[in-house]
Amino acid sequence: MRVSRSGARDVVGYVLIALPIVLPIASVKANRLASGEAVWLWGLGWKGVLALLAVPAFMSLAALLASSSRKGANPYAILRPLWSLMPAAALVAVSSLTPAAGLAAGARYGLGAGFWLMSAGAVLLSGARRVPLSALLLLAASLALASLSGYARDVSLFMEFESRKAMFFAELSKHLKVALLSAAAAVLPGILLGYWCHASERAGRLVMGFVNLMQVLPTLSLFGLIMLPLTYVSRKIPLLADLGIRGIGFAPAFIALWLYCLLPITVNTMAGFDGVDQTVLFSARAVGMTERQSLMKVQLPLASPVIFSGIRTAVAQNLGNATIAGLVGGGGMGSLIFLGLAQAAPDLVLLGALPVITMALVADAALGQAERMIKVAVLHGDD
Amino acid sequence: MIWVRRSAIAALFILFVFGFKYIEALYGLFVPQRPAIVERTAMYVLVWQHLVIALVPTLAALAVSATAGCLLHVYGSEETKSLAVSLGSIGETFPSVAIIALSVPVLGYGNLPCMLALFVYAVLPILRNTVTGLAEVPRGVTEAAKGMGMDKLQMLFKVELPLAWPVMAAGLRVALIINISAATLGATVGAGGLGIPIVAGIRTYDTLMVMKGTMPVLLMALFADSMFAGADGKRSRNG
Amino acid sequence: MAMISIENLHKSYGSQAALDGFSLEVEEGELMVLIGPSGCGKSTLLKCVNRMVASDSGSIALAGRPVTDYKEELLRRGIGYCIQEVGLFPHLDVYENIAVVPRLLRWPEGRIRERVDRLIAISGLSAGHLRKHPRQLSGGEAQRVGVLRALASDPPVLLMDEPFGAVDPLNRHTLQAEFLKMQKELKKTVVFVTHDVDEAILLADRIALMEKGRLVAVDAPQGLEARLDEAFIGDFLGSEYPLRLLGRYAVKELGLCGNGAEGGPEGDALRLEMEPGMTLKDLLSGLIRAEGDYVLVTTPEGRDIRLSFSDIKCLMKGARR
Repeated sequence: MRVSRSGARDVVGYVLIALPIVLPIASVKANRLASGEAVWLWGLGWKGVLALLAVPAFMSLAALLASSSRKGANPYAILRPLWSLMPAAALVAVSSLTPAAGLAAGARYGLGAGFWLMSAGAVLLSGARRVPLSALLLLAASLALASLSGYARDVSLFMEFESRKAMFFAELSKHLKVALLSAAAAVLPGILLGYWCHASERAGRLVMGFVNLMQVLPTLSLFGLIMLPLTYVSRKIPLLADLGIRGIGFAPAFIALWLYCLLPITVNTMAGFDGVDQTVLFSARAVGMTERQSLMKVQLPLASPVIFSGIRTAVAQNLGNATIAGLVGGGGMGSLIFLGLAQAAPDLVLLGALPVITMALVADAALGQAERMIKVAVLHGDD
Repeated sequence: MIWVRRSAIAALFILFVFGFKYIEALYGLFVPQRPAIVERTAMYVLVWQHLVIALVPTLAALAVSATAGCLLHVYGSEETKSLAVSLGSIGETFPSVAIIALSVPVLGYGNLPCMLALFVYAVLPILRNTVTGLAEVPRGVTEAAKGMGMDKLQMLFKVELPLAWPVMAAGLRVALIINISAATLGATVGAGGLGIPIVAGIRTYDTLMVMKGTMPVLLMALFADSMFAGADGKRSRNG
Repeated sequence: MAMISIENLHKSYGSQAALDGFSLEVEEGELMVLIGPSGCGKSTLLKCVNRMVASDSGSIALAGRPVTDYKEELLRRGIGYCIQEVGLFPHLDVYENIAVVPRLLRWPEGRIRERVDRLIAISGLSAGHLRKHPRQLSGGEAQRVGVLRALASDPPVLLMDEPFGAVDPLNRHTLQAEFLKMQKELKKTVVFVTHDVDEAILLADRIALMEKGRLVAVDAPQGLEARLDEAFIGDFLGSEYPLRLLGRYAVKELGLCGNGAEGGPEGDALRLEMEPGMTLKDLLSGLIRAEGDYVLVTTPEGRDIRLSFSDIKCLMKGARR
């Protein structure tokens, strides 16, 4: 369509949206563990197809109207985030498969490749250059609404969710707790360490060497290597055990994630300070600032966008790595995933994996937005 | 100097893989009791499995990304290039465990889900570096080549790729090293490789077991890193 | 007592001597231009005054007190400093950039506001510039802000290191003229470094010529003309120095009406309108272009005055007295 300026992205999006034509949108499964029988687009019945086509039809109309209007705000650009309503619409469509008498006991629908790829395409189309926060919020809200209204009742993923609600939320809160707290705890030390590396050449090389080593060390190993010393220490110092710090559980996960967060924050802080223009530094000295004043009034503000970018990387990375905490008893979405793998229940795996991916993407998008705002605030321009 | 480094790494590697019982004996001097572990697979088999799991997807990603990068460079617009790079960077945000776990329903247990995830992860650094490397070839050189009468394809192979190779190699290096260590995650879904002793060590609270798996992985990654250092004539990342 | 006294200053970088026994006295309210070939040490000298660079030996005193008496930061807050790259703080707007030193000195907000307004009024900028950010400014505008920033805390001394060097020639003339006007009103003690002889001629009360870290000559611009026969001076200032010197003398100031004959044959004579900023150099140029050996100048009142070459020489002598 001539309206959009991000042609290639849109082409990919449209192709993905069209995939339900050739890929199954759902499957009917006899029970929790069975693999299902494919359901195609035409099997949805007219109500389902209508639900599915509603959003694309509306958006095409908007696009056509926009291309005919000349000046002023582009209505299509404003309406773009509405594409993210498609997954919820697809859920409604799938629910139309349920016969009036309901499904047989234990039977349920699985969501097919057509559904997932179409959803990916919808999310892609919801933004011209990047997925806007509004689209993600719309997606979450529409899905929540759809499931609360009962449209997802017979979808196996939601049935799994229903039966494990308590566990889901418990693990979700543990996941968020360990990921966000360890990131928060790493900010100040990371910035201090990064500044030290910037100030001292030797320290810089030492720390960079250590950072590289950490990147090479497998995540599993780090978690594992923290466990034993921690168990030993917590046995020797009863106070720690009383505080709940033991060799397994929250503590080793927290420490490992904290260490992983230090990396991007330190590296970015160092790069941020290194990147301050030499002339500006010279000026700061020349007008009579002390070293401290130069640091606080000039260097820190100018380095802050890069530093914040490091924090953003740390948070997104943490939300993903916290999944492994499940292996050391730290809970989190990883518990659901590993449980699902052990039981060979794909829906449980999905129930664990999807939130992790979503959280990482949302955090990345939200913090990316914040980063842009910081850049504008400090440098008064968006590079 | 670099060969001293490599020999040292190789020597340590041989020690850890084939002579682990000496390390165990040393460890036993400090830590008296250890649960008895029955080892089902010999270390060198695990090492081989690990290499396969790590290298195959990386090389596949190299082939795919390099080709895609070249195609984008020759036929693509600025827009398609940035789209490709941003799609790839979404891949980087996805946590590896999630990708591995999600591929299980499709690919089953074992090596394949792990290899798929590693493939996805290797694509981005290589693709991004290919696109950047080709874009950074100085205009003067490409103008001269065009002036000599080369067509787009000849220019690509004779001029641009050789000049862009150091940047691409840097991407390959990052991808390879990350993959060597990330291949350990496969053990959680039944893949082979050095993740097995690590996971076993975690489950039985056996640090030595964890080390048994970790050290060879580290040494392999360091060795791979030093291979690249030699190749492009610069010092290795670790200084 | 001189405002700035520099005595026997030495500074070496390794085996290279940047300053080799440099001595100079700058009087209060004087605009001293420091000029010399690149590498002669003029920038280093400037940086020694505000202790951005530590000299090896020798002394610098401001109003009688050695600069080493003060703490570095406090010294610099009392000296205005302008550099070629300007070095404005990118994260602060124009107002905040100018207000930097007053804030360091803890001036009350009202006083700062007043000061900035006054500075803007005497510069070529408008109040609309105050909220802009460095990246939104042109080269000339940025340098003007740099000068205002240096003047903000009303320091007695101003150090300027080729401030207009990076600006295009047209803008440079404007900046020079503005600065001259400001200096006439503010009467700061200025040490101005440049390698551009024309700039020196235009701005200087006195010119100090440097070579290889030493002072070779210091005098008013017309005083140096007498020493053109000396090897280095002649080489650096160039044989056309007297010609360029003519650019210093504005025609209006010289009381045109006292010289030259009134009226005269027209026709093939070259006519010049007397414009503000017209110098003796322009008159000489007109003479060269003219067919005959005189040029006709029309004053703003409408009178015509004939000027020949000897008239111009006479005007020149009058200006030098």
